Amino acid sequence: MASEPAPAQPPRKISLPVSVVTPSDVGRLVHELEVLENDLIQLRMQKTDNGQPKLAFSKGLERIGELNKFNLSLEADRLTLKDFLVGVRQKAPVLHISFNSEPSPLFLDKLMLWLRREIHPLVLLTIGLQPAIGAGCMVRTTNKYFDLSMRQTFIAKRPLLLEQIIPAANEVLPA
Amino acid sequence: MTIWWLILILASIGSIGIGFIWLAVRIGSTSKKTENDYSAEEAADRDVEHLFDATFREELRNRGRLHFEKIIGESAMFLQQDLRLTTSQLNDYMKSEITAKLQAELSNYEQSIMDAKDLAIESIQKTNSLIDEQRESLTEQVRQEIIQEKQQLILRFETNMADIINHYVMAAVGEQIDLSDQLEYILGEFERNKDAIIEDLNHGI
Repeated sequence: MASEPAPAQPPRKISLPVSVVTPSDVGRLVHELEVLENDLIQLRMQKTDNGQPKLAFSKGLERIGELNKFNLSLEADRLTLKDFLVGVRQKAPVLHISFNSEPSPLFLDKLMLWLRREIHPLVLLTIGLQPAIGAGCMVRTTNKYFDLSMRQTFIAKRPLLLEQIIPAANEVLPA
Repeated sequence: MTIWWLILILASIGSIGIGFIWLAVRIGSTSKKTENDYSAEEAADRDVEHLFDATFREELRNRGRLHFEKIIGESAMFLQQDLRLTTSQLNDYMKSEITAKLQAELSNYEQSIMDAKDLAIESIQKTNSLIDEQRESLTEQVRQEIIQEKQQLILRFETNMADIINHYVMAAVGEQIDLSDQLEYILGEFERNKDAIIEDLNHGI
């Protein structure tokens, strides 16, 4: 008796964990999945009576699996995840952000959380360093350049600065 | 005055000379009259030859010589007195003339010096006024340049004020400001530019 074909399931909504920040991170996950597949093929060829081989995943892969409720022991889930990651690597929007110093992982987590909630759920970042920025950051998208540094804030608030500086200067240097 | 004095002196000398000539003529006429009367009195003369012998004639001659010498001496004395008087007058005249000339020359010289002094003073005053004008002009020019420089500095400061203050803030407290402290500010800036970023990302995708 032939089993009935399973009903077509809607495509799963897959999300990226905040720890996956850069295209390189995505690339590493894809590479890990590929390596994992190769290892599994080898293990199948050397299959013994010990049953199913025990798989070991990296923390990043475990996290994305847990987040999206994938059973990475299943080949279908792994393939789905791999396809998703390859798609992300190829099509996800990438922002290049420059800071004056290396951002901490906690900072990046909070930033990615906001960016994926407000800008795009699959956005990726490349991080640059520009010590001359001071406070704030510079953001470069595909076509635009956003100066989000404190310098730009000072320029925008120049009238306020003048309003504060001129009376102080007049006190110090009377005409 | 010089000519009058000279004429007076010459007149004195001339009168003295005329006196001498008159005396000589007088003496000559006396002796001539003796000779003219000789023919008339020749006999008497021959008779009295022995009265006017050589000795007596010599005595008369000596007496005449003495008288003549006396007159000559007196005339010389008068002449000497006149000459002394004339000399002293000449000296006085020369003194006064020389003094007057010297005074005139000195006054001219003093006037020249005063003119030169006035010219020098005037020239110095003109130079001083010119220097004062140039100094005032220079002062004004320097003042204008200082004001201009000050305005340029202020303009430059205002133009680059954001950079200057940013640099100052970062130099002063940059090490104390961690990226984690800036998260709120950065997210605020992202929030302000969110629409533009999303729009550009959608275009890119």
